Amino acid sequence: MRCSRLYGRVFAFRPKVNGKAFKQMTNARFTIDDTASPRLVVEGRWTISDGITKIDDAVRKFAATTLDKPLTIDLQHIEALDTSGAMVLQRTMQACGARTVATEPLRGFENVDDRHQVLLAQAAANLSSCEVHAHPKSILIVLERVGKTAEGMLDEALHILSFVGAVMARMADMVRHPRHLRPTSVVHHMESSGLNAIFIVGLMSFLIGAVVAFMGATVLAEFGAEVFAVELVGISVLREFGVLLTAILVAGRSGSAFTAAIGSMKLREEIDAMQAMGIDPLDALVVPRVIALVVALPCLAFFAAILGMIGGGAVGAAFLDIPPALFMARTQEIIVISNFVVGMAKAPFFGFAIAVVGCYHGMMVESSAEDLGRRTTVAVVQSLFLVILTDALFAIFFMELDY
Amino acid sequence: MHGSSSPENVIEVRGVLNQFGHHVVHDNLDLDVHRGEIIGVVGGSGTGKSVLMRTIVGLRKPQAGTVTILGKQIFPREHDTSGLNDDIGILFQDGALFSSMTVAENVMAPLREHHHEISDALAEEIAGMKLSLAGLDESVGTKMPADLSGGMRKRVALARAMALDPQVLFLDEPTAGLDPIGAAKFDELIISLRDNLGLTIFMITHDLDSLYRDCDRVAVLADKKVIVNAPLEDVERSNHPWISDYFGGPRGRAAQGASLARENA
Repeated sequence: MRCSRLYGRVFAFRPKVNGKAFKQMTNARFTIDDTASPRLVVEGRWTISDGITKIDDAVRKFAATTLDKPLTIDLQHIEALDTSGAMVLQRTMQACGARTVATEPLRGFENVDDRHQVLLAQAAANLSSCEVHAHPKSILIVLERVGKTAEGMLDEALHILSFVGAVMARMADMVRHPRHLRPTSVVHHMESSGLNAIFIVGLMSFLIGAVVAFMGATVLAEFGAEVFAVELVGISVLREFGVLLTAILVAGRSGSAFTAAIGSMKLREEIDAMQAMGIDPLDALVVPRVIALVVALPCLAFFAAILGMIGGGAVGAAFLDIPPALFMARTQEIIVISNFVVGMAKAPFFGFAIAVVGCYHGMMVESSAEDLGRRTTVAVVQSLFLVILTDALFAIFFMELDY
Repeated sequence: MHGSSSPENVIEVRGVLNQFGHHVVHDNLDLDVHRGEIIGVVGGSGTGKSVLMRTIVGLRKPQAGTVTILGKQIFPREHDTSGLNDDIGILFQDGALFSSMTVAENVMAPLREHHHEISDALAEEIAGMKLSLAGLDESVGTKMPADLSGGMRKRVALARAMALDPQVLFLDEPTAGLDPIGAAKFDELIISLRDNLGLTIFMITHDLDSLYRDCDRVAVLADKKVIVNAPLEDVERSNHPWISDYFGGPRGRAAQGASLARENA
């Protein structure tokens, strides 16, 4: 006898020996009377919540040993039956050679009451197991995945390029037909991705400026050149950190928001509705976001650069014996304007990359919430990658120019 | 069983107030649903049919009133309601299938959640049968919900709602968006579920054919209340303006005619 008390439910499965049935006051159970032909005597509550799941293995084993012998199932002592229970009984019957046909679903069953008859008939008509995808295991799978990923990456790169082309074309068109531009939308996105980010961007830049000043001064102090911390802060914040960190923040903040917003519109067929009405989604959704970010990112970067300098200056005044007047004077004297120009020149490109990648992935969302989540992640990762790649290319470019 | 509920009432709603801001959807609403009946809930758009369903299954807390289901009072919460999920199946309007799982996994999800010990083979067989019962063949099992048509999604959702053989089934517009043949099959399926499994079915519907064919009683939502809750013949006789417009309009008459023709045939 096997017994399980896991959930306070007990079943008993035991072949009938000497014609004596095993009795227990519990749920789904059965006894087997294997005299001339196999006979399954079903007892208790054969429902999914009363232990079918626990006796199923035993029923299967019984069916496997009784293959192709005409089986009789006796339902005299059954207390309750549901669709799952009926399915298990009917499955056993089919496996054991009774081979009930659609016209005679009850062949082999005995003492079945009216309600259970319908259930058994229904089970016979609907007996099917749904396939669950098989997982093939082979080294080929790895190769296949590598190939598919490579192909997908190439495909996506081409798609993004064509998307960039389409966006540029729409923007050029707006120069000719300014009426197509949606100023309200542009301003709205400038507010939500630019103005609303000002606090976090400012705080971050202030801290970065302070950290650079502090770390620089600690090293430079060994050479007695503490005052060069001013140059360090000025050049690094104006040329690189201000704009780069702002772009990273905006990519995480607004790039993902663009994907999520456009993607959920795609899922709710809003984009299809626009197209059906003759509204170009590129005009209505993408171009305003791109313009907004191309304008807002330089503003944020400028703000970040100023706050970074203030952060550096504050640390200088508080801990490094560099009074604000000296900090200002050295900045004006030594730090050439080109550093600032280099930093600002990059900002619109970063903004463009972030907005286009965010919108592209939003437009590519297909059919499911899961895809939306995946696309949002990919959008952030790709825009960060593009921002840093663009930054590196600019670094080489300006180096060659000696600027 | 709770003291105030009579045994044959599976659902008892008393004096429910549902309010969104200043907008009152239900005010002092009462509703009884008997065991083993199919109750059709009708009402104009915005009369809070779905809100009522969400209130009964405990997804929404009403501002006032009591809700009792299967003898357990879920609002204000008095009883241990933990076992209730096994006994309630819900078909949401758009199916609400889990988009990250295949169709088969969707149907198996409640089985696996409530019966951890279930074997893969049994879960697959039960899921296969429920899908077949809902009128789908087993090949849909491996598909993702996103790849299905609206009607198929609804059938999968019904298969999932039935996975645990619930006692009460809530259907939110089950035949909306189905072609007439599919809708007729759905009606048959719902009736056979009630007859064979003794299910109690709470069905929100605008499908007059379904109302005439399936429902033992019809509850009409209007004026923030259930104004009538009676067999269809009695509801038709009511002289409330909305009801006479609803059943006396061209579609109502057509459905009535079809129902009479079916009876005579």
